[in-house]
Amino acid sequence: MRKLALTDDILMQIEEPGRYIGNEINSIVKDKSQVSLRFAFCFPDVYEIGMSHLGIQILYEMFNRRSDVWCERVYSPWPDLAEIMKEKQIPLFALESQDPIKDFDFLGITLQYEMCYTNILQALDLSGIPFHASDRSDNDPLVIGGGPCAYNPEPIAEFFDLFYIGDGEIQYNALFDLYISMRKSGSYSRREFLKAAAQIPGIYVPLFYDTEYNADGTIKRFFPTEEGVPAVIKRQVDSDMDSAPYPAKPVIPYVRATQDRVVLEVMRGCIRGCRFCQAGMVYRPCRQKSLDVLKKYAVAMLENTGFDEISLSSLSTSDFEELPEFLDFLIDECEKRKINITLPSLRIDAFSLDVMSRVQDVKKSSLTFAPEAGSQRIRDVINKGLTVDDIMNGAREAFLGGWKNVKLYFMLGLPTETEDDMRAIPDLAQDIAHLYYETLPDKSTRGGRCQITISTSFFVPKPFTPLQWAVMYPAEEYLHRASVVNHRMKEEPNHKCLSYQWHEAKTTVLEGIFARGDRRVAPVIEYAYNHGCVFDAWNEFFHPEIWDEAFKACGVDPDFYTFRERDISEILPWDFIDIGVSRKFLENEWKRAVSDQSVTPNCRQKCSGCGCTQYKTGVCYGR
Amino acid sequence: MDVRVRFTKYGPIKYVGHLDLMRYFQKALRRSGLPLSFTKGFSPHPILSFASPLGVGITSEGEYMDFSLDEEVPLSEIRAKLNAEEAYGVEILSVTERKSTKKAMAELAAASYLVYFKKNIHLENDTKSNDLNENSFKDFLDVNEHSSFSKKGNSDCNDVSSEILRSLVEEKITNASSLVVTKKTKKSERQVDLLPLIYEIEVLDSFPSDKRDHYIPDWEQNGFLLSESDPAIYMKVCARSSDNLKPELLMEALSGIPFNSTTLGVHRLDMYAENEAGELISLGEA
Repeated sequence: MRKLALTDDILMQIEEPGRYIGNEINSIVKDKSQVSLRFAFCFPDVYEIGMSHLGIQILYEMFNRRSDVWCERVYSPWPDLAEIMKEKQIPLFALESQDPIKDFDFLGITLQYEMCYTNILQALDLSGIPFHASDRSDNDPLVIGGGPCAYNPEPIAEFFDLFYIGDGEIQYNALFDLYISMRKSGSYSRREFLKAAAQIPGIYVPLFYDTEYNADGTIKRFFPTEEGVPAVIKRQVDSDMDSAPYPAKPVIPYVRATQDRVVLEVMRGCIRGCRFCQAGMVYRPCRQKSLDVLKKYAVAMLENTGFDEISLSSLSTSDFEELPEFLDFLIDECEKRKINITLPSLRIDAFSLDVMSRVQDVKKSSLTFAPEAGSQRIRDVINKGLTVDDIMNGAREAFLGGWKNVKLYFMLGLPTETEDDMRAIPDLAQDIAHLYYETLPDKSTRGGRCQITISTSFFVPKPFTPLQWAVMYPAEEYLHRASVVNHRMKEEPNHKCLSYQWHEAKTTVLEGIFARGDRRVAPVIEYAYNHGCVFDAWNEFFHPEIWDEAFKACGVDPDFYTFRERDISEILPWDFIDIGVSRKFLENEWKRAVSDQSVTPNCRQKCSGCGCTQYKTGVCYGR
Repeated sequence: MDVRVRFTKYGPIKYVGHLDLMRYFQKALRRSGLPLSFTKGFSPHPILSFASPLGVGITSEGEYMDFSLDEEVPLSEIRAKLNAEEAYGVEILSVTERKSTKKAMAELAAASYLVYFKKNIHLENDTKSNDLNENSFKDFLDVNEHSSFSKKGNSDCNDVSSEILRSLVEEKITNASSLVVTKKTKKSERQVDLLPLIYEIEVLDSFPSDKRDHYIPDWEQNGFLLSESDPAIYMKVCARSSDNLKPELLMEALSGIPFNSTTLGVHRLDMYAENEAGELISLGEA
């Protein structure tokens, strides 16, 4: 048995010791003396969240297929344990070997949301790795970041040696080969390795770049400081989803993870082109997996895990062209095996309602619509191809099918939003509630009151979206908008059927700063961590007063990143990354959004020339 | 076909709580490919029940779960298929066909344990006092909840010895007419006499080394006293749901000192049902 990194005394006094013991079924243990490269893959949040992330599972599978690489996992220790580790100087360790992260060659950190940034520093701190890449020695692990937030890596650039931009499936092997060969030949030094790695497409080495600013604080010039280092980093795109590695034997946590089921990715990318959605842009073009491959993985994953539920993953599963056929197979297979099917990201229509009524208990389940905006005008601004008729028809079908719980997701603070648009949110909910009683007038057959839940988040403009130039608002303004919705809801005739919840406003503003920040934001994150901020995504640990203090202490004006109008000609901190979607296309979409408020067709209806045809794959194939 | 399985729990998985262990077994059963019987409804799950939850951190070689199969399968095949799916620390020791219709949980009457100690815990028996209140014993010199290893002050700490344990058992159990403790629940406090709940108790001069090496290989790292010269207590006590006697509570009653999972080691040996003759028989044979 491997010795656990934590003693019995510690494990018995912390919450959920099962988070830290490794040994999970399907976790991969190798002989460390037999591998040339050890990779610690970190999701900088608590185990239950991190273990639910598909991306790590895919790369864990891919890396461990190599006999010369051992990839392990590590998650943020919960504050109760983090405090003990600090006090007793217990280094952060990986789950499989229980060895300190400091012994590894690479520490990979996936960047799924901005509010985890202080947890990155916690991971470095507990590992004993210097915060700044420039302070690290040849003996420190190489810290590499990837994932959605890597599309604007600048606010955290100085904490990383490298970033990987794009689908991990493509260049990691080249990176590992380079590292192993330099180590074997004895030519390894941190600097020489990073110089060579910077030549690999999709690899960004922040140390080799610098920024010049204008007097008004905007960027004048962003440039490589080393010869031979590329000025533009190109996103790496996997053009063959069918042969891409996929975890047929995913690790099964003991502790119940948020995603406690088999997750099968059916498609990457999205045809829709919603203007607020970063994933819809940075994962273009939409690439489907073939039916045979999906069937094979579905069966293998169920058999290898024993999970009692399977979920299909994609940005918009209704757009998966072979969905009807695949669902027929899946329903049949799952009935035999007594497996539940969950279908998130489905558009509510007759087809999906029929499928859902076959796989779940209609009475207990609720239906989710994401109109994103209450008024058709704003839905056109954000290019959400959904009309009020679509919503009402879907809801009518649902009520006739026996559903009576409906969840509605919206965003507040979208560009050009007026109070009328805000009030349109509860008005839409009211119309749906009214429709329930209109559709089912007979009290004896309808089975009680309908329950319409409205949820709003506040819109955060993200890099590489057409709305990346949009202004944000102060926290008080967001709360005001939520109160407009709340007041109106209480006046609705069917308000007893409606309920409303809204998102935290302070975290929204901070998220906005990180999302569009530049290198000058890094000291603020470091200051906040050093003064006690960590797990900022968790309300109970979020300390807005420390963040306010951090901005003041570092002399950084948060408003510069949030409330300022950005000119379309401004150099944005992430402009050096080429995601394949052209800036011209984004500019044009921004104009269509706010000036013309016109809708752009989806990728199947008509190619809008975003630039991704260059990859010659997926929905663009043959164009 | 109704099946009862006896299994172990040790190593890292001992830190996995009961609910998570149940989910673990549901998955292991599904992976085994055995023809499981399922509950009906929209979320069918294997019909599965456990004799008794085991506290987090406690090791065991006598855990039981019951489940049912839709078809007859040879017992040896069930055992092999399940063992192929288990994590380190879970071994399927035996598989029997259930004769009784009763579930293990309902049948459970008693459990046996081996109890051992952390370093630097000091017990004294003040034989002059016959009071049963907490002050009748001098407490630990230096047990600190958070770091049982650290010695406080200047005590030349005597670890728990078999002599002191024997004198405590003799006085408090063998020669006593009652052993009354206050059991606190969320709602009430009640006085309970533990003596009728103790079926067997014996002080051992050492913990059986084969068991130690198999089930508690990490004892030294974790500061437990399990060398050949360290004592242990064997006990067989009531485990009925109404009067389940936890080893920690019995040790507290013996010593007057609150024990918890960081000061006391517990290894469950077996669990028992009562047969018609009123004898305790292993659940695996019931």
